[in-house]
Amino acid sequence: MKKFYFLVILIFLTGSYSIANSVPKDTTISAEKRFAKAESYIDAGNFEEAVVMYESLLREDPNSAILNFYLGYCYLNITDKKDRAAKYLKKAVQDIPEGAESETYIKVIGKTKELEGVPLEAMYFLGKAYHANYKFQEALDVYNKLLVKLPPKSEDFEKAVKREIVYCKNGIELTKNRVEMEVIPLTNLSSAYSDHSPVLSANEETLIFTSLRDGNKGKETADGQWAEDIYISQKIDGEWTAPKPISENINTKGNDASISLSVDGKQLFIYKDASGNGDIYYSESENGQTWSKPEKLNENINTKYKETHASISADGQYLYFISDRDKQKEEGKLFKQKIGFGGLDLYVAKRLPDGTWAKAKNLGSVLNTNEDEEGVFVHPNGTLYFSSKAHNSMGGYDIFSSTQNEEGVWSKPVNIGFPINTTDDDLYYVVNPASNTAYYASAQQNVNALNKADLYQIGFGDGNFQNIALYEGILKLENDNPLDSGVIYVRDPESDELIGTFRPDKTTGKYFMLLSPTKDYLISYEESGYEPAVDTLPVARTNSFLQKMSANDLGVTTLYKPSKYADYAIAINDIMFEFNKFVINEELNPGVFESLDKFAEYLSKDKSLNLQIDGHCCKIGTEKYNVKLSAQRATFVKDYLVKKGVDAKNITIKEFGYSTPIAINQNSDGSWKEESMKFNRRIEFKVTGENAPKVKVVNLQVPDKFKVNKEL
Amino acid sequence: MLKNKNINLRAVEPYDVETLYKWENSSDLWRISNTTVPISKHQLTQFVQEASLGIFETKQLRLIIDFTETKKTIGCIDLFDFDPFHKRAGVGILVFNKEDRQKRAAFDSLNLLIDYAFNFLELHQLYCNILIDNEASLNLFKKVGFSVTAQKKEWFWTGKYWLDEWFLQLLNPNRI
Repeated sequence: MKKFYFLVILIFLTGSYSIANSVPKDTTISAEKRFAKAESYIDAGNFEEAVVMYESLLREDPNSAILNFYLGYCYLNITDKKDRAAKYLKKAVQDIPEGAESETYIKVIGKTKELEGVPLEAMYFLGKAYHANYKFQEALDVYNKLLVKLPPKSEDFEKAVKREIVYCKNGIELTKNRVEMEVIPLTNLSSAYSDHSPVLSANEETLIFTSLRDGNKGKETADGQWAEDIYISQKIDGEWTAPKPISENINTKGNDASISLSVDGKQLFIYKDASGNGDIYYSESENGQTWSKPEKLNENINTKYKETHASISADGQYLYFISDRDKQKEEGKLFKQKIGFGGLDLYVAKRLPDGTWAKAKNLGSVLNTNEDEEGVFVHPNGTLYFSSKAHNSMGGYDIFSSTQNEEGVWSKPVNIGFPINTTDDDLYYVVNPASNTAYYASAQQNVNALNKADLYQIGFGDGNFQNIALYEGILKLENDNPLDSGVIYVRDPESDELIGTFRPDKTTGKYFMLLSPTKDYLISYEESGYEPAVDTLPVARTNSFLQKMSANDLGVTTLYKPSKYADYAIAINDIMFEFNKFVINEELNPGVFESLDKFAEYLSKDKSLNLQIDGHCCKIGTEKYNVKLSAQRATFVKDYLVKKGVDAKNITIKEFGYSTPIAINQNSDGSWKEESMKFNRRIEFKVTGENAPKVKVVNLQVPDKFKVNKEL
Repeated sequence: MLKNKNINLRAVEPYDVETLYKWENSSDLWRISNTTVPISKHQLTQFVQEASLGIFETKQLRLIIDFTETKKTIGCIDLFDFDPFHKRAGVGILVFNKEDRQKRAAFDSLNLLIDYAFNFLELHQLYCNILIDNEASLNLFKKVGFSVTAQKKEWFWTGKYWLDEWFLQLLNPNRI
C-alpha cells in the first residue's frame, strides 16, 4: 500500500554533470561521486539524503541549472519542504535550452538517458511546486507557457500537463470554501515514522493502524523507514493506550497494513503484498486480544491483479474493495499504466451464506474513472468514501463521498472539501457513526516537521446519527458460564432474511450492532447447548435507538440451559409500568398486547392452568398507596385477559406494593435511582398446574449492577 | 385578569396561536383532550378571534396560564359547555411541560377559576372528566374540592383496551 501513499513521479533521470568552474571542491568525496550518489538516493526514494548531496554541490556551483533542477525536484518530493522547490525550479527553467529535447518526458521514463541541460520537465515540476503550495494561478501560467513549448508528438506529456491544469482549476474552486473543522493530533499514537490507515470499531474504543516505525518486524527500507506493521490501541477513560503490535500472527517481515475493521472491532481486513501483486486478507479476534492467522479472501476478491484496499459494511454483508482487475483491457498500453492513467477501481462483493464472497461487481462509471480510485470506506449509514485522482480532485488523490439511492444508483461523487483534501494525495479516511469525527493520516498537518504521516482526529461539531441505529448490549450465559460459540443473528421479521451476524466479545459478552432504523428486527441470541433467546427490536418505532446508548444502558440477555421450558408452547413477558400508572404503556413493553392476546387465547383453551399476577411498585410514595397501585396494576392485566376470554376463576392477583423490589430504588445518598428503579414497576406472571412447563414466563432483564442483592 | 403571586390567568391573544397549535397537536394530549384529529392553525386563529365574543356567546372560555414572575406561558385552563340556564360548566386544565408541573400552577389556576366561576359568573356547579389512570389530575381536582360522583364504565377506547372515566363535581357552597 505504501507505494500509493507518497506521490512519486515515476521518473528516472540520469544526468551527466561536470564541474564547470573552479570553486574549491569538497575534497572528501568528488563532485561526480556525490552527484551519482544523489541520483541513487532519488532512485531509492530517499529525497532527504539526495538533498544533502545536491546542496553541497550547489554551494560549489550555485548557478548550475541542472543542480537547481534536481534540488527543486527533490524538495518537491519531500512533503513538508515542497515550499522550497519553486525557488530552485524557477532558476532552472531560465536555462531550458531553446527547442529542448523534444520527447524528453517520454524517453527518460524507465530508461537511462543522459541529459544535456535542463529538460522541459523543469516547467512541469515548477507548476507542480506552485500547485503544491496552493499558488494555483502561478501554476496555471507556467503550464500554459509549457503547453506552447511542447514539441509535436508529445501527447502523453501534454495529457499530463492538462491534467495538472484541471487540478489547479479545481483547486481554485475548492479552496473558496473551507470545511469547518477542528484537527486534533493523536500524539500518543503517532511516531517519528509514517503512521497511517487508522481503522476503528463503531464505538470508537478500538483503533488499529499501520506504522512504518522502528521496532517493526521487517527490514529498514531505502527511504529510512521500516516495512509496515499493524498496531492496536484501546480507548480507556477517554485516552488512547500506547499502541502495541497487534499480533505475532499478523505482523510479518513484509508489509502488513490495516485496511478495514468491522463495527464490533473483531474482524480486521489486511493488505499484504507477499506475492507481489497485493491481496486482501482477513483476521478475526474472539476477545480483541488475540488474532487469528490472516487468511486470504477467495478468488472472487483476490486476483493475479492488484487488490489494495477494502471496507466491510456495518452489517458485514458487503465488502467494498479496490482492484485493477480490468487491467487486462489495457494490456499493451503498459506505458500508460506506469504514469497512472486508468487502473484501480471500486468493486463490491456480497457475502454468501457460507461466509465466503460472491463474484464482485464493478461499482460503475459514476464512481470509477479511467484514473485510479483508492482507499474505500463504507459508513454505517451507507455513504461511500473513497479517493480518486479524477472527478474534481485538486491534486493527486482527493477524498470523495457518494450515496446510493433505493434503486442502488450511486450519486455523483462530492469532493469532501478543503482543507481535508489538499493538493497532495489524500487517502484512507474513516468517519465515526455519528458523522462528527473523522480519523485520518496526513503528512501535511504534521507539526513535528517530519516528512512522515501522523494520525489525526477531525471534529465536525454536532453528531448526527441519521440512518443508523446503534444497539449494544451484553450476552450472558446462566451462572456466568463463559461464552463459546455465542452468536447473534438479526433477521427481517417478515421475510426471515438474514440481515446481519454479530459475535459478542467472548470475555465480556459485549456486542455492538449497527442497523438501519427503517424497520423492525428479529434478533436471536444463540449459544450451543443453550436455549436461544429471541427478541424483536422495534427500531422503527422509537427514536431513542438513533442515539448511541451509554454504557449504563447496556441491555443484558441471559441464555439458559434447556430446562423445564424445553418444549414450551408459549412465552409471556412480565410487564413494566410507568411511574404512578396502572395501565400498560406499549412503548415500555413493545408488542405487549399481541403477546397478551396470544396468551389469553392459550389460557382460555387450557382450563387446567392457573395464573397468578403479582403487582409491584417502586418505592416512591406511601406503603398504603403503593399496595393499592400494585393491586390496580395486577387487576388491569387480569381484566384485560378476562376480556380476551380467559376464565376469571383461573386468575388470582396479589399486591406486593414496594415490598419486593428486583432492582435498586435509591442511590447511596438516598436520591431516587430512576434508571434502575423503573424495573420495580411491574407485574410478574406465575403459572401453576400440570401443564405449567408449557408456558415460559420471561422475567424482566435487570442489568447486574442494578440487581437488588447489591442493595445492602 | 386573574392573578396571584405564582400565576396569572389572561385572555388568549393572537400570539398564543403558535403555542396552542403545538399543544393541541401533541398526540400525547389527545387522550386527555378527547381529540383524535389534528387541528389547523386556521381553526385556532378563528378560535382566538371568537374568544373575544365572551363566554355567554361562545359557551366556552379559555384562559392562558403564565408564571407571574417570569411571564412564561405554561398552559391553559378552560371552561367548556357553559350552560347559563342550568348554571354549570366543565373545567379542563393543561400544564404542557413536565418540568412546569408540581409547582402549584394548576392548583392556583383552578382556585382562581373556581372563584371567578362561582362569584362572578355565579355558576351553581363545575364538573370535570378524568381518565381512570390519570392519578395526578384526580388528586389535583380532589385537592381543590371536587369529589368523584360517578365512574363511567369503559368510556374511553385507547386502541387496545377500554378505560373507565371518573366524573367529578364541585357544587357552589353559596348558591341555591
